[in-house]
Amino acid sequence: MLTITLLSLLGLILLFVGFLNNIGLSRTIAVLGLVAGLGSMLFLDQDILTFSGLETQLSFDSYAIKFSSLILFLSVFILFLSGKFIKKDYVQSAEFLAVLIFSLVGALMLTSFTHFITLFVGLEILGISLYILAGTDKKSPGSNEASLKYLLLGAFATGIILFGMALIYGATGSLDFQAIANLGQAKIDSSLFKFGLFFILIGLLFKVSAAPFHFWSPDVYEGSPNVVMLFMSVVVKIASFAAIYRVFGNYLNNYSFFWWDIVYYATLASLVIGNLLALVQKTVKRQLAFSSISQTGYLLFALLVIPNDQTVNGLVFYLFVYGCAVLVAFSVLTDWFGTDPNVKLDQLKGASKSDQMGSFALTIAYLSMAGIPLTGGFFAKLFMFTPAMESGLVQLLIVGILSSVVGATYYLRPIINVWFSSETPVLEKGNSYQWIAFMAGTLLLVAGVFPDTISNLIALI
Amino acid sequence: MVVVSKNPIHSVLYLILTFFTLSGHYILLNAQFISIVNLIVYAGAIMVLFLFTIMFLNLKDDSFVGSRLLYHGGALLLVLTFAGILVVKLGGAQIDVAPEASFNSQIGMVENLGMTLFNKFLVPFELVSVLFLSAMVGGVMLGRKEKGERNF
Repeated sequence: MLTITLLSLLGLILLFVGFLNNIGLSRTIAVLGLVAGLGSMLFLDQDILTFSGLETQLSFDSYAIKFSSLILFLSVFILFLSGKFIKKDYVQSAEFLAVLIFSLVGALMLTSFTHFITLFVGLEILGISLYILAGTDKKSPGSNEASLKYLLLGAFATGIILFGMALIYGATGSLDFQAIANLGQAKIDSSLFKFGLFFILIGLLFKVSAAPFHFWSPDVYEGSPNVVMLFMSVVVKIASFAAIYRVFGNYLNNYSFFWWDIVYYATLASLVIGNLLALVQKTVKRQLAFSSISQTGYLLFALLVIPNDQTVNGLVFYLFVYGCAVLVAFSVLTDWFGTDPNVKLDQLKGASKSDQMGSFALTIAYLSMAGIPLTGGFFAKLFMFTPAMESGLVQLLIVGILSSVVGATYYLRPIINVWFSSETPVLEKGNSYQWIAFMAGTLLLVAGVFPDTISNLIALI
Repeated sequence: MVVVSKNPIHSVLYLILTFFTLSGHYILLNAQFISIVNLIVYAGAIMVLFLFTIMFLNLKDDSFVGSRLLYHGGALLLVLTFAGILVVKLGGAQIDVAPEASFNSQIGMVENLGMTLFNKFLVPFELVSVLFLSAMVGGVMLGRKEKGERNF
């Protein structure tokens, strides 16, 4: 609760700091604020600002703190990476930073809601901020298209969720998750309740971009500025997974017989569609967008197994590793190509000749996304597969393993382009973000060689 | 009538009528305050805004391309399927009726609404302000004129 207040104020302050026209100062304040938020999240008692007698409809339990601190941790680096983009003279930096911070308020609400109203307000804050962020590259028609497309489709998804909430309220007379979880059998059997659950599931699957509700994500990812795509595929993915797992894994798991089949087929579809379509993509961003759909498939495994702390920790570990890998990829890309939103895979050819370190970091990132041993991705996938094996989901496992083999082929393409090509690429010589690539790459290797350190850390929070 | 009117101005006027019927529903649901607010804000203010926008845009109704039959037929089919599913599934649903004994006709009045909003739901209510602020900031940011030329 304290962190949410802090971030809301931070966004407000950033708007006023914008009058000074000092981008460096604004960004420093934003980073310091986020670090303060992260500190307050990890080290302070979360009930500190909750006045007695005030119902907040939010609960910062250990589940929420795990996801929220991951979100804040990765956002700090994303803020650093945004430097090149917000320094363009037609990008309004103060507003960009403020809206980014506001969207984090929504993301934190999505990790900690206990009531439908906070779930909905969180989704809306995150969603509306993202529609705006996707359109911040005002001179690029692609960015405008992405913003409008995301707005229209996202608004429909929100409408569907809202309709589901109305039906559930009609069936149960309550919007509190704990109250709904403790309902009697008669209420649950009503068609109203089933339909409500169905609509909410569809809306949330749209938000995590699981197939067959994935159509928006490649277009929106491709059109929006690189930093915003990074933000969407890392922070927004974490927040929406926190939300979908909190609703269906935590509170409504008793009713899994209604929704289990839908999630099962969505998982299969995401794995197959994401990996197969990523094979034929020509630009780096589109490939990453489809790979993010397939990663959604692996992450949905967590909903299909018996929920316990192990599953939650596996989920956080996976999101952490995936977030680091995408962070590395984008910091290297920003070093090489600036803010160019349409880097083709062919443009990477021979990049290792001019930047060995960057190529090495990029290789680790892609290997980790493919799930090769010695990188974090291997253990992340293992932590997802093991509970599924214990639950006896053999067919799903076979599809998962086969599709990660398919995945390895397209993750190897950029690596081959970078190292084994005689061409000499045209690269911007900038090493300003190498330290981010270096740090996140080290984290990936640590997660790959000593996974216990990271997973113990996650379990500790 | 909102959808089938040829003239967009007529569509907006019919939409106002729809809002009046919605307000009627709110009154039936014992939410008097929301019903009045719905009339003032939606039927009054927002629809006037709609009218202005439509008059500004100066829409012509001959801009429609493609087969009318296909579009209308497809839309009709979808709507009927969806309505069919809803009727079949929700037809058997038990909807609770408010019990006579604990029924409070004052529950939808401003006072009670305010009490709930500022006690039980204070935090979500305040956080909605973050939502509106970010939407406003974004609207101003995207609409503002910037240096140089825009490419589209």
